[in-house]
Amino acid sequence: MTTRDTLGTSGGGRGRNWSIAAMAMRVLLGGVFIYSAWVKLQDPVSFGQAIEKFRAVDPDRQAHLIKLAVFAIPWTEMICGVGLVLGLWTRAAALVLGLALAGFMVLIYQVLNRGESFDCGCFGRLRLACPSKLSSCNLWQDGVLLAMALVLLAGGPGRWALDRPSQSRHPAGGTPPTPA
Amino acid sequence: MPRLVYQALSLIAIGLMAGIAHSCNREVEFHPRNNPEPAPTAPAEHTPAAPQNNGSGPAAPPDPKPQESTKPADAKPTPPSAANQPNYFITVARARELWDRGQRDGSVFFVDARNQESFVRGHVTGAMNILPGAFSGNPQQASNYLPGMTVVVYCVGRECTDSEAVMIGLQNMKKGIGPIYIMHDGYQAWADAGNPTATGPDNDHP
Repeated sequence: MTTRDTLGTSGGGRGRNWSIAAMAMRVLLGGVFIYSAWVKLQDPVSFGQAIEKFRAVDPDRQAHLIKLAVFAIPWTEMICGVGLVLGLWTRAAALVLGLALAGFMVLIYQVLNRGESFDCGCFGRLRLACPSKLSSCNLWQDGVLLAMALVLLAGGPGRWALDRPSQSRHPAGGTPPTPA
Repeated sequence: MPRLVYQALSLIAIGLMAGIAHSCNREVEFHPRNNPEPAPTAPAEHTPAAPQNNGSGPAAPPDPKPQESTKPADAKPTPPSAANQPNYFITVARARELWDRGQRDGSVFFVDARNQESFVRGHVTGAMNILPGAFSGNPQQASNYLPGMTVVVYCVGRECTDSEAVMIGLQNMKKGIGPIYIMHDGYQAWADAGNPTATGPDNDHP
């Protein structure tokens, strides 16, 4: 991780290559989540119905949790997506989105294990590489996005990011050095 | 705790707060509410939706009179099996009856919940195109044409949930739209039965 940090802030060719790759991943991953969050916020009813179908909570007794999730999940995705694109709190945004993706993958796996399939609203109406109904394709799709999030978590935002000035002062994930 | 964890928790907290604020600001139901039993000659006056319910089993009275818009406690309780069944799914044949009635007295509107491309390729004659996403704002078409009207919503077929989402959106508008039905077998079944269809964009309902 330290090596990648150095690469991210150095003027070497490898540092530049990493910055380009990191920027591309940040824009792609962040853009996907910004768009999907926006679409979900436009149609909370469909998203709420999709959440109920996952059966993560009891829709009869915990309807308030579903209503909270319908708005909190897209807003969190939106904020983290914007952070990724801007390179602000990049690692934290990648961590949160990575956790979200891992959670989605567990839920999708449970649904497929039950033999069910429905339009999950995982990315609102955005269709990436998979058909609308849940299938193992969605697991692979989310796995690729999760891998990107993990790479950004480990490697940092690269050179062209708002994080860069603070990152060069403090090692990511560590406490600030104590004064001598 | 590492800075990374603090930042991650902060992002989650900000998202939660934004979500709480948004959910408090927006009242939304996730399930269609049953209609009162249809009155074939119902006038265009306000017909309130069935009592508000959560979950899948709204307990609407089975045969309320049009003026029976009193509190649910006054309504005669219905047998559990009847109360839990949605009464808004209708067949193509029933939808055709409503369409014919709409042609006679203008009291019935059809709403196409499919995307615009599908609508342009073919739709029920006289239908308007309203998508679930339109309810993030206040869809002008619904406000202009649908209050006091009987509405039949349709989309692709039984597996499509957009018609339910549009129905919920119309009910959430609380503009006296209804009763609202869903033509369960969708547009293709309507067309295959030889019922009136049209093509082109929705220019009749600006």
